[in-house]
Amino acid sequence: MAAKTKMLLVRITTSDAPTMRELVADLALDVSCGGPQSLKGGGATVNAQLEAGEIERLRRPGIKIEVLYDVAIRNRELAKEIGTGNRFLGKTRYPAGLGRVVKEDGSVLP
Amino acid sequence: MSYLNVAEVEQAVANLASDHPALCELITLPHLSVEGRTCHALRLGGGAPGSRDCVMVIGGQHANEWGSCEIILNLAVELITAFETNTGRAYGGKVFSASQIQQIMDGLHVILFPLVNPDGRKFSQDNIASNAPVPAWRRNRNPAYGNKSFNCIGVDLNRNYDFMFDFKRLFADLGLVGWLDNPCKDIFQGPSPFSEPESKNVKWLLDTNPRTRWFVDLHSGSQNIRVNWGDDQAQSTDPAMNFQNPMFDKKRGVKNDAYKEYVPPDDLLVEATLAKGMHDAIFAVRGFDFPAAQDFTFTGAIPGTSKDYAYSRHFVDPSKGKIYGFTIEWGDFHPLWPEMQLIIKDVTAGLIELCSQAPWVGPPTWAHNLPSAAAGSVPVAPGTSPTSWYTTPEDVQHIAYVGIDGLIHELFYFIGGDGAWHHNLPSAAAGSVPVAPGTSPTSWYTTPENVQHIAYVGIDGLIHELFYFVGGGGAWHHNVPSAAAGSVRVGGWTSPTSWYTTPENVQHIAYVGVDGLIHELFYFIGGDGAWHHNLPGAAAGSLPVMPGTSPTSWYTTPENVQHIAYVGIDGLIHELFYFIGGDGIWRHNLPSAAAGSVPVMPATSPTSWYTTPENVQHIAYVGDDLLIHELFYRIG
Repeated sequence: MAAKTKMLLVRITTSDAPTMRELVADLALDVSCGGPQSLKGGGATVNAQLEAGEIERLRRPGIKIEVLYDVAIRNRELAKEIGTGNRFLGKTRYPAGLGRVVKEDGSVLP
Repeated sequence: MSYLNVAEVEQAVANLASDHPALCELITLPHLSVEGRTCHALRLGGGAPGSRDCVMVIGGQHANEWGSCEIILNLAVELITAFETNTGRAYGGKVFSASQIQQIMDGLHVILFPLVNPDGRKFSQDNIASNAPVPAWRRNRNPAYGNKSFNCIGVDLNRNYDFMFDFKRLFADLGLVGWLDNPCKDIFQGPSPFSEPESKNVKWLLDTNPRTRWFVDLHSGSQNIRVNWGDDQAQSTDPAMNFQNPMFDKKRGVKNDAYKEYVPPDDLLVEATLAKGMHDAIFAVRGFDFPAAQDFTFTGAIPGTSKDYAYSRHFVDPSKGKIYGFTIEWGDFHPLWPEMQLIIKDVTAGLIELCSQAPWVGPPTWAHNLPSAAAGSVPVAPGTSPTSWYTTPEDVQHIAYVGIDGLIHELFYFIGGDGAWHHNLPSAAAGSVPVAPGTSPTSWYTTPENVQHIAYVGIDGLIHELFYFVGGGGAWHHNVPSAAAGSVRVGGWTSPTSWYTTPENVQHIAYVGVDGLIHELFYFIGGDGAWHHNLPGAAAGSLPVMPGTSPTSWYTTPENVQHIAYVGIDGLIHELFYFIGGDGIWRHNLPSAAAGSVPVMPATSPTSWYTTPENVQHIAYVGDDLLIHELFYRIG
């Protein structure tokens, strides 16, 4: 179902793993690739997309929530960064490598 | 440049292959995506498919993790262009030399599958480009399993692999029911392993590239490097406690309980070493920490992932090769492009480091090849044995043998070259005669003249030499060392031995004469251009050679002594030795006098070698008890 309200990407950190499991199980969180990540000391963290209104509902002792960005705003910026058409049909054949060139004598070109 | 759309990914992949055909092969995956797109991968590195060990990197399984695709394309571009220009690459503080790149591209195949899930990427990018107010998309676009509402389309491809797919039977109750089996959840695994064409394509790549030894799956959402396994914590002490053992069904996946998944200790070390190498390379770029650990420790139990499937294959089917599996999680889902470019550099550095280190990390194992598969090669004459040598600085290994046509054949292999053995026919040299039946050649390599040599017994009973100037005219030449004054014909069914002494720069051949004595032929390189003769078998105490057996030889430094060992007519091992620069006399010793030694099995010949820095010489032979015996002597 399409979301109707403001979506936020948040980082949720819990003080222990069971709290995180409960959180993920209770809520239909759109979580990151591998799911929650354990932290040294027993806590857990996960990045998730949430409706803005859900944040207050999640707040409870042992749970820390940081808003990373407004998904709609981020998406508007990202939309400008998606290639349009096909940039590799002409002289440019593929993306240029991003590394700096190291010559045989070991010197690195700027 | 910025994020690539699906058409651009495919175009870039195709252009790389068409613009660099010697280095880059386009692989068309056999299964169309759900929406009918054809997927492609690239095989980097020369040589025939299957001729080299392989690193495989895949990306874009999860639709909203766009940057994986750009990372893999950057890796392809960097390896190809750096190799072609004989340059290295630097990313922040991490530098790869030109020789490292050459070594990767000369020694490995690197298979890159940048976009496993093109339908999902298209959907994800279209939603964002149109600012559609929908959650980011993760799965493929298969509408077959849910009710076709927005959230009930698609399968999480990285839960669709055949590793512990039947989670309800295999795992403890972890709360996965209602998630993995729910078509309306983001981690829906699909109805069966490899139900999806996109995951079938990855399986096909692994199946058709059986020398894949390292597999990396790129993802985002967190920042780390993950190694096998993802179903439970690892242990290396109880091989029976493993994912295939039904005794442990319903017990897996619980942290810190009794069940832990088996990883052989060598594998654990290899994966940890390579993961640390990637971590350190990434950290060197700009100081970002990608902690490396077992997958389970990051996220708890995850069945059906590509990395675990790749590693599990050789446990399930031992005929399949072992593949070390890794996942790199490179950060936030959708960094803006300036940040993504920095991440591309981070992860490219990690992947180049993996390619650079991988062939050298791991327990030593023997592998098999078939030099005789070279075009032009003929079968070996029965009752004969090959000889071998190695030439530097060309970095070429050579084998010579007697073919069933009675001629000397050579097989040679350029290390770091095309991955194939090639054939030559030294006996084609003018003046060469066929080999005496039942005898075998010997070989040596002389520096700094850079000449390779083969000596053999001809059907005329004489010692013949074939030699080839490496980097010279490309032809083998012929000589007859037996023309030396004093030389006699070779005793029946015996083969010569040879060695090369420095710094005097003299090549030597020893053989059994028809008189049953050990004869030596020697040649001063840069000297008078003639072979000379000596008679080590004349040494005081020496006995004639047991008929039908052949000598062995070695050279010890820094004492500068040459040695010949043979089986005497008394069935014992005898040694003849000569101090170069000394009194010019061959001397005799009796290694078989060593306590515990037994007589030699009739019709067998000894072998020998010299070990440094312990400075010990060794002779091995078959005893009359049919066991291998060693005689050894600590020089000094």
